[in-house]
Amino acid sequence: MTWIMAINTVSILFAVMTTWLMVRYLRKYKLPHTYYKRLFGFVRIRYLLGIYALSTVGLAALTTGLFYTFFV
Amino acid sequence: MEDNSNKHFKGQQRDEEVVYYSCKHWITLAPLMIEFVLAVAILAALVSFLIGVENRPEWARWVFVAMTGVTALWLHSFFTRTLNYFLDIVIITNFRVLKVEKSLYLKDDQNIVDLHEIQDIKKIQHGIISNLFDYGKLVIVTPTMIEPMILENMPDPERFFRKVNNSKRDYIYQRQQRKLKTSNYEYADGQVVNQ
Repeated sequence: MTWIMAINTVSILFAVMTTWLMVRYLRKYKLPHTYYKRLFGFVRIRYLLGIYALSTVGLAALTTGLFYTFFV
Repeated sequence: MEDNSNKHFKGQQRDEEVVYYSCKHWITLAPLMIEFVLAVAILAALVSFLIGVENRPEWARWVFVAMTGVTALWLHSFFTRTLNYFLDIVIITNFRVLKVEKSLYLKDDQNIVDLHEIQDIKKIQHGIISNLFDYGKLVIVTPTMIEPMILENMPDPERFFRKVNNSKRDYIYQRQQRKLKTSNYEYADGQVVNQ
């Protein structure tokens, strides 16, 4: 259980850092940010960052839940 | 016509205005999407196998932990590469063409060609997929550079080609006008003579 918790904590921290770096870059330089609005007509960077955050937290919850249910 | 005067980028010069900019074509994301589908299928199969192992021995627990680590690594790699796609852009300004190759952690390159240095531009669009989805390669040749600037997987290459040519023509015209202004001398009666 300790290993699962450690992996997921590092994973969430990495996701926070990546999101922060991306948001900082986008706030500083307006150029790429405006382009996102056009990708496939609907994909915006904030949606992608939201999906990223949800996936990371979801993976942590899923692996912890599965491990707790079947291996503890 | 789109107004790009409010848009900015890293390394922008004084009086420099963005004329056109573009990411690579979305087709470059296709391998990532295929990878995503395959990875989710493999992970689901592995999880169902591990859960189905009788009595759940110790090794199954460690395989699950290792799988969690690998999945987390892959997930971050997937999203980082997807985000990096958006940071790789090509910009045409009223002075130059910039190829910005940036990633969040590892890379921050800029390849620049001044508009007046451009000798030749080649548009290469080969194959069914390339013509169907309208993307291609652009090669910008300059006499001062050993290797040309190659822009791979550019969406709507025809438009890009036209924008570079128009910007180059405008830039050369403005330079000529500036030169003419500095070499002319105007007398008090309004008569202009060439020095």
